[in-house]
Parts: sequence; C-alpha cells; structure tokens
Amino acid sequence: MIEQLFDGLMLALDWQVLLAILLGSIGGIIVGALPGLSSTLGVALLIPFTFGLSAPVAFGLLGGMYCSSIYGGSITAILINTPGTGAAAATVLDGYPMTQKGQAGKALATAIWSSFFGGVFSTAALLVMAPPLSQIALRFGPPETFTVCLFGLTIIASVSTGSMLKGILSGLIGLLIGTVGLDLQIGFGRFTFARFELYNGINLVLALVGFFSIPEALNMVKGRHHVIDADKLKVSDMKLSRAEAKFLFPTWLRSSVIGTLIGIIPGVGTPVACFASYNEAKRFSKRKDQFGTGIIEGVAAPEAANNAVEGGSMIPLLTLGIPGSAQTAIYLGALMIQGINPGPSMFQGANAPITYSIIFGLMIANFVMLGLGLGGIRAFLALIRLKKIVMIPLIITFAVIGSYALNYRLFDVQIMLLLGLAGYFMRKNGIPLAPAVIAIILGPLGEDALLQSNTIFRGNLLMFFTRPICVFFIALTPIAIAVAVNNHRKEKRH
Amino acid sequence: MKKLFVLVLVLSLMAFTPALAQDFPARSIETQVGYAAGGASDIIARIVAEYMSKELGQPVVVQNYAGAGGEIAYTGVATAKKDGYTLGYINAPATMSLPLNRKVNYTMDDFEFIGNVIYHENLVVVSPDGPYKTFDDLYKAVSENPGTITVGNSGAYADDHLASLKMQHETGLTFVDTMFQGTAPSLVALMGNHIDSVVCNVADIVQKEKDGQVVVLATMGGERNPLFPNAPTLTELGYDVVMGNYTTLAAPKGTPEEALTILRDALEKACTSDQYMQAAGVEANLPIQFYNAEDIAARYAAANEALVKLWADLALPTP
Repeated sequence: MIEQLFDGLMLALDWQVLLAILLGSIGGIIVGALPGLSSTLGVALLIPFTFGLSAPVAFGLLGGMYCSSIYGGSITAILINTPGTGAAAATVLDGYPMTQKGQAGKALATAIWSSFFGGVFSTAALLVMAPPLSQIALRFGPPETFTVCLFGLTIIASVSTGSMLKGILSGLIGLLIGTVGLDLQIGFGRFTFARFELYNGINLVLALVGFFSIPEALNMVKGRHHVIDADKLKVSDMKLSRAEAKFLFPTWLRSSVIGTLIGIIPGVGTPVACFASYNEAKRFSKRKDQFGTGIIEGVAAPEAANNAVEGGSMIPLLTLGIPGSAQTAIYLGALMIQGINPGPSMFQGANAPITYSIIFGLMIANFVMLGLGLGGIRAFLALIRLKKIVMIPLIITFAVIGSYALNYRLFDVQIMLLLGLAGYFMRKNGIPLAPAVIAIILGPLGEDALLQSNTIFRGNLLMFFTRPICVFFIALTPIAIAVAVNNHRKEKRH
Repeated sequence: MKKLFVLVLVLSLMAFTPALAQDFPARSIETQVGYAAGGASDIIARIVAEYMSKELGQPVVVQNYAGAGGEIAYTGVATAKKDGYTLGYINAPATMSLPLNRKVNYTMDDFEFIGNVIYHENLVVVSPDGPYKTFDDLYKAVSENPGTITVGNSGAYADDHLASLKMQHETGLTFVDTMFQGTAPSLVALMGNHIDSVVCNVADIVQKEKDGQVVVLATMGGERNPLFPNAPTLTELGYDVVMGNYTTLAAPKGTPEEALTILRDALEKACTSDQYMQAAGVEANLPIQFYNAEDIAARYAAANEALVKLWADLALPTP
C-alpha cells in the first residue's frame, strides 16, 4: 500500500496536474464568491473539460474547483452578508458582524485558515481511514436519516438570534417552503399550482440567494447598512495570530470531525455541516452569548466544517460508489467518463495509484487554496470600498444570473425575487433567516426519510427504538432543545 | 474611429448570418437532458454529443433540465422551435407514463424520433448479505409473507416502480414498494440492508455487481443478459414481464425533413463508429443500443400500447 501511495503522490506532483489544480482553484474562488453561482454548478461546468484529460489532471481541475469554491462563498458572506454558496450560509452569522466591527480582514484570515484545516483533516482521513469509515455511510438508512434531521432541526434554536419564538416562526416558514413539490409516495403536487417548474420543489440556491442577497441590497438602498472605512484597516487586522490559531484549535478539530462525518452520510450535505458545527461551537464555548456579534469561533466553525465535508463525502464515493454530497455526485459522473468505476476495486491493484493521485490532488488543492486565499485578502477587502451605487446592482445582477443559471428559466428568477421580498419583510420584523434555511434543507430530507421509514416499519413507528443510532439522536433532541431554551433564558437576563 | 466603424460593420454583418443560413447545421445544436449532470443519461448524452459534432461539423451541446421525472426536458423538446437546433432525449416508459398519470403539456405525438442510444432492461437485485440467493428464494419469501418484503424504486410511477408493479401483477406477489428520490439512494438503502430488494436498470448496478455489492436475481429483458449469466429472465420463469428503459434522441414534430435526415444520418454514423462504441460501451460501461428512427418509432408505439394496458389493468391514478 505504501508503494501505491507513493505512486499516487508522484502522479499528482506532475506539472500538468498542479497547473490544473491552480486553474481550478482560481475558478473556484470566483465561482464560490459570486452569490448565485454555487460550487456544485462550478464542478458541473468543468465536466466537459475533463473529457480529454488524464484522470489525475481531470481531478486536479475538479478538486481545485470544489475546494476553493467552498471557501470562496465565505468572502462575500463575510464582506457583504450574502453567502456565495450554500456552504457559507452559516458564515454570515458571525462573519458579517465582524466586518461591521471593522474586523473584515481578520474574518477573512480566520475563514481561510479554518477552511484549510478542515480540508486537510478530512482529506487525511480519506487517505488513511477510507474503508472503515465507509461503513458508517451504510449504517445510515432512512430511519437514521430521519432522526438526524429531527436533531438537526434543534439547531434552529441556537441560531435564533433574539426571540426564540421568531426563530421558530422562521423555521416553520422554511418547513412550509420545503413542502412545495411532488410528494414522494404518489407524486401528488403540493403548492405546485400545476406549474411543472415547481414539481421538484424550491431549490435551496434560490432560497439562499433570495433570502440573503435581496434584503441586503434593499437595505443598502434604504441606507440601513453599515459603512466600513477600509482605509482604517491595519495590516495586523488581516492576519490570524498564533495565539488566536491556538485558541481556535479545539473548534477546528471539533468542526472538522463533524464536517467529515456529515460528508460520509450520503444526502445530508454541506450547509447542514456548517450549521451543526456552529451550533456545537456555541454549545462548548465559554462565551456563547457572544455568538452572532462577530467572534472568530463563529467563523472558524462553519468554515472548517464546510471544507471538511469535501474529504468526508469522497469516502463513500470512492469506496462504495455512493456520492456523499451534491458536488461528489458530479464527481461520480466525471469518474465514469474517465472509465473509472468507483467502488471497492478503486483501492486495489492497478487502480490504486490513480485513486491515491485523486486524493493527493484534493490535498494539494487545499494548499493552493490557502495560498490564493491569504494572498487575496487585500484584494477581497477592496470589495468593501465599492460604493453603494455599484454594489447594489452588482448584487442583484449576480442574484439573477445565479438563479437563472440553475435551469435556464426566468421562473426560477421570479421565485428567487419572491423569496427575496419575503426575506426582506422577515428581516424588517426581526425574524432571523438562518432557521428558515435549515428547515428548507432538513424538512424535505426528513420527510422523505420518515415516509420511507414508515414503509419499512410497516406503520409501526415504535421500531425506531430498535435501532441504536436512531435512539441516540432521538434522545439528544429533547436535551438539545432544553439546553437551548435554558441558554436563551440566560441571555435574556443579561 | 475608422477602425471602430469597420469593427461595428463586420459585427453587424455577422449578426445576420444565422438568418442567411443555407446549410444545416450552421451553428451549434442543443440537446436537452432531463436528468442531472453526472448520471448515466447525462454521460451518454455528452458522449453522443462529442461524436455527433464530428459528423455534423458543428458543436453539439448538452443542457441539463432536471426535474419532475424528466418532464421539464420532455416539455422543452416538445415545445422547442422547430428548426432542428433544439433536440432532446426522451425515454420509454418515462415520457409515456407522465401523460397517463398527470396533466402535462405535451403528447407522444409531439416528437420526431432521431434515433435510440440506450436500452437496458429492468432487473431485481438484493444484497449479498441477505437471505435470498435465487429468485425462487425471493418468490417463496414474498408469497409466504405478502406485504412485508420491501422493494425499492426510483420514484412514484417512474420506470423502476412500473417494472415492479408489472412484476407483481404477473407473478401475483405483493411487495411493499418503497419510493426513493432516484435509484442511487435506493441502492444505498439496499447495501445497508435497510430494505430487502430493489428494482432498477442494468447501468445502475453493473459495477456494483462486479464488486460483489449487489446480486442480480432476475432480469426483465427478452433474453438473458451476458453480463449476468446466472440471472434468469422473468420470461424464462414463466412470467410475461419484459420491462426496459429506452433513451432516445428526438426533435419537436414539425422539424423540416431535410434537417431530420441530416440529424438521423449523423447520429447513426456516430453511434456505429468504433471509437464511440469503445468510449461509451466499454470505457463508460453504458448499455448502448442504437435503433434508427423507424425502428424506435415502432418500439415506442408497442411500448405505449402495453403501458396503456398496464395502467388500465392496475387501475393506476389518471389525471
């Protein structure tokens, strides 16, 4: 195996592979940062280019895109409160407040180092422990997925800044939006108004772009945003100090583990990992009431987690042929085009060096991303200098382009704008948006899992309690709710 | 200034060229795919696009319009401009089953066939860890315990579900149909032993079967599939069940005859070339099967008849 690892590393250190990684990474940061262009779209767009390339080069390109686009989303999330990708939805919670406090550079530095840690951690796990970890993927059947979603919904409580009641309302709105579409069992249309464009439900990207970009732009029009004086930023404000890195280490470790594990479970996806690790960072923090006001753990946790999902989601992909995230589903296609059929055979015989070269390519991509991210902080900060008159149409333009780019139809843009208006009114009334986003993801996922579980259990829902993983999450849920309610009460007293 | 004037003049003239096009095709052709990038339907479309471009001398581009069980792409093709530049992939039985199940904005008469690229039969798979080693084992278990054994499929009234319903109708067995959002999650649930069996298609499990992750108990083709020599066909076992999936390139009805002939010719040449068969059939491991326009039109007509009958026999929901 050591020999194959070495061969794989040599394959990855070829100049063509490194160039591909660089190009993919540059493209990735751009795609990631632009609100509306998701990282999944970025990876999908590169597929035609992989046709004539050798496997290590092709996956160098895809790896660079995947890795950097997940980080890229945090740039706009932090600077202008509009996440560039779903993976950065949790980064706005503390990222933007940091910018408002004049700490944009620090936030960006935190984001890049956290992303780097998460990416390297999960890729190392992939390299060393892929086969045993892949068994976790299989243990998560519909009943387990449902209980994970149930527990996941309690995250709503911790990201409800302000009134818990308004947070729950936001969650309910998200659940409602999540019901749109054809139901799983008989294909019955719910809230589809006989428009086939709605049969698949409302795409998460439309909700993200609508909820975050549009209200921000509208607030700018009304002058209700903070003006940051970019000239006053000091150089030290653009770096993460050694002491801060040491302070963040436990957060990084915890978030990377969460991200890797969620990546391994097929179907759950990156945004959930971000919110979950934000939640856990808050739970274990000594200054939990400062979450949401702009502290570095609040940025470090989701950023480490979202890049950790990369390596995690490759584990079931490479070992079982099951993609663990939306982006790796596209990787699957790229592998098939290369004539590589993912599964246990990938780690055996002649296939092994190529498989390892793909993994090493991803690892190297993390380093390239670090370089680009650190080097680009000054350039990214220039975004803040843009005057309102440029920023507002820019945000709206990307919002429209990104929504249109999903399926090339204006209907999606209309939905996004509707959601934008809804988001604006929610913000105006102090209703937080993050819970709605969590519910839009977990609602449909959890409902399908519940319906499948009901079918598997032949209607006897008590059978949930015969499965250990289910019992674990079912038990955690009320505890999490109780802790969150208690924390809210404590916060109110201060 | 003069340079600018010339540039503007040239650009404006170029803008008129599509309207002056005499030779078809004069610009790139779009092929719509009703499934997400990375899946088998998408991959075959891209490989076909590559080889068709070579024949036509113009780029052939794949656009994904996933969703609603393919309905979005089917509607897109049926209602596209009839100039031969917008094509798309339709499927049997999926394209035919949607109008039977709900209100849609197209009918099967809205399509002109160009040629078929993929055919693969449905089949029944189980986990190697489970108690079923042959179809007989499964048959026994289900007939002794009707309504308890789960069979996963890719969605309500999708082709896998229809194949499962047909199988149950002909064998008299009662499974518990479990719906998933696509075949991939159903196979994940099977490999984790959360469900007992799955009905899917050849392409979905070719590699998994080789790796020993699933076992094929029976296929629903006309004859045994050489990839699975130990799996009998349901026909062999005495049941009238032949269910499979066609992926066919089509144009909207009303597309000019000249354009259709050029496209049909290009597709046939592309799909019968050695390099295509190597790239698609061997390297990408796809169940390629070319049928020309007349052949596939006849097959679709027969399949449609059979499907309408099945719908009536099983009293499936109609709009």
